[in-house]
Amino acid sequence: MVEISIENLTKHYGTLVALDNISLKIASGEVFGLLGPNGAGKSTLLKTLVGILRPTTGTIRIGAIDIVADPEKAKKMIGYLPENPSLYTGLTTQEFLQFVGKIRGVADDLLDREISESLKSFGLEEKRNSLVGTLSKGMKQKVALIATSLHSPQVLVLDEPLTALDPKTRVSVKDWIGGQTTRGVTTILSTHDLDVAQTHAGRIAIIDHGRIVAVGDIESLRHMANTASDAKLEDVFLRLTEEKGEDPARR
Amino acid sequence: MSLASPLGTVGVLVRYWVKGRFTKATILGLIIGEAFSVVFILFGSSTYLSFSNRVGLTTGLSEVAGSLVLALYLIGLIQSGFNGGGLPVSSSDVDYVFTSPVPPREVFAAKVLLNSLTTVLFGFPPIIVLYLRFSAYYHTPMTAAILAGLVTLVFLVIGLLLAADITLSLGHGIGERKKLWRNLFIVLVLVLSLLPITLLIPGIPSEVAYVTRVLPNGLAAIVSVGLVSGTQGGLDYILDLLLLFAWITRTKLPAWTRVEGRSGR
Repeated sequence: MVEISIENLTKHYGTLVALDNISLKIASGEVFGLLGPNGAGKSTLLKTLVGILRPTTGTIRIGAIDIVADPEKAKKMIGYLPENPSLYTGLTTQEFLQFVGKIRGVADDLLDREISESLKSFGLEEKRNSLVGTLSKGMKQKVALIATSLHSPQVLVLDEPLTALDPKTRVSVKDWIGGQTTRGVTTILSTHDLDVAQTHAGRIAIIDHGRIVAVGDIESLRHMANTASDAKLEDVFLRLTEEKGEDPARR
Repeated sequence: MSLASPLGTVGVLVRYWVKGRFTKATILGLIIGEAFSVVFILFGSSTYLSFSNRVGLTTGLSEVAGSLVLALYLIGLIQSGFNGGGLPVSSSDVDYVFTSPVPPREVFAAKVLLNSLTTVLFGFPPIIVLYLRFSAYYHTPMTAAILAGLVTLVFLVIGLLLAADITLSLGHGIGERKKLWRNLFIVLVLVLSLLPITLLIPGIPSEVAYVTRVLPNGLAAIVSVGLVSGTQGGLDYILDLLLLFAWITRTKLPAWTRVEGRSGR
């Protein structure tokens, strides 16, 4: 189990400030929720965290490892689920998972066992030899989830894992997330599904315009938003983001 | 849990990229395209030879034509390099390869290798057909056509490495910041690549011909056309070959050193 430390992180795209001086500490085994309106900077933060984007300034440490200074070592510990995973559609499900496992250094015998068990648990055994491009959206998401955890990562970075899924698939994805968190994996969960954030995340950060607007457990967030003690996360979220001068519904 | 050796990782990347790219439908499309290009080459070369025979053109002009065709290929590749297309990186690569512990230098090595393999696989048959047609016309042995094909292949690899080098050093945003240098370099490459066209102008200084001779496209054309027409041989041939291989060595080095330098991404 490892902790994640983000210090004074900024990311600029030309004159656009996508991330503005973000600092966060996520404890080992913690499930950390990340909420924010569209375009708030959630995906940029996650992409920087997994080493796809290079920060303009600031540091990110996965355990003791700086992702910029030693990206290969840091990436070994991370499992990343992109918002809209681009799978290799010309490969079969098995080939795709073998490919992902091999480039993440999973031993062949262990990889085959892991693939078989994961396909079984997601009910995808029959699709083992089907081309990924022929799978439904929900099936692709399940395959992407399996790919995320094949190398038993110590950190999971999940970007909108429940977007556009049917109710049945949502349940199996939620179960999977629950399973990972009980294993003690440090998890960052970016989601628009506030129920999922409230159920799984111990602490939640609300990000808007590239800045962390609020961070804490649901009780602290209610307090910061000055809402009732039984207020739903949705009301808290709306209050906190509206206070920054934007109505999320208009974005 | 550890990664295979760099060579093993490059092998895994190429193997699965090839599997993913060449589906049955793609292979069928490629075979049809390949057959079309062979027919087109046969038609084009026969027309050219018939025309050159009728108006009494020499092999020198064939060299210029060959050099121009290769120059256009080089320009196309370099242009794709400037646009970041020399080494196509898909969104799947970003999601799964660049988030893996595989160092970027190995990813780019695999990309260059895959591009080279594709070029060899699909570019080579029409080239060989072209040289076989020339060889039949000039009554030179078939081996000359195969040798000429290999020389052109070396040129194609030079183009690929150059495109890869440019993609890695100027592509992906860096290119925007170095726009002036980029544009100047494009103009320079265009001027140098299209130099052979000046040989068609009567009374052009002999120095221009010498410049053309040392450029990779000029060298590849001179050696290839010389081989199939039976006019190439002796010390000149060896010197030209040595120069061509010097080009490939010079092109290859900066590509790899820059990839190493970017491993931190």
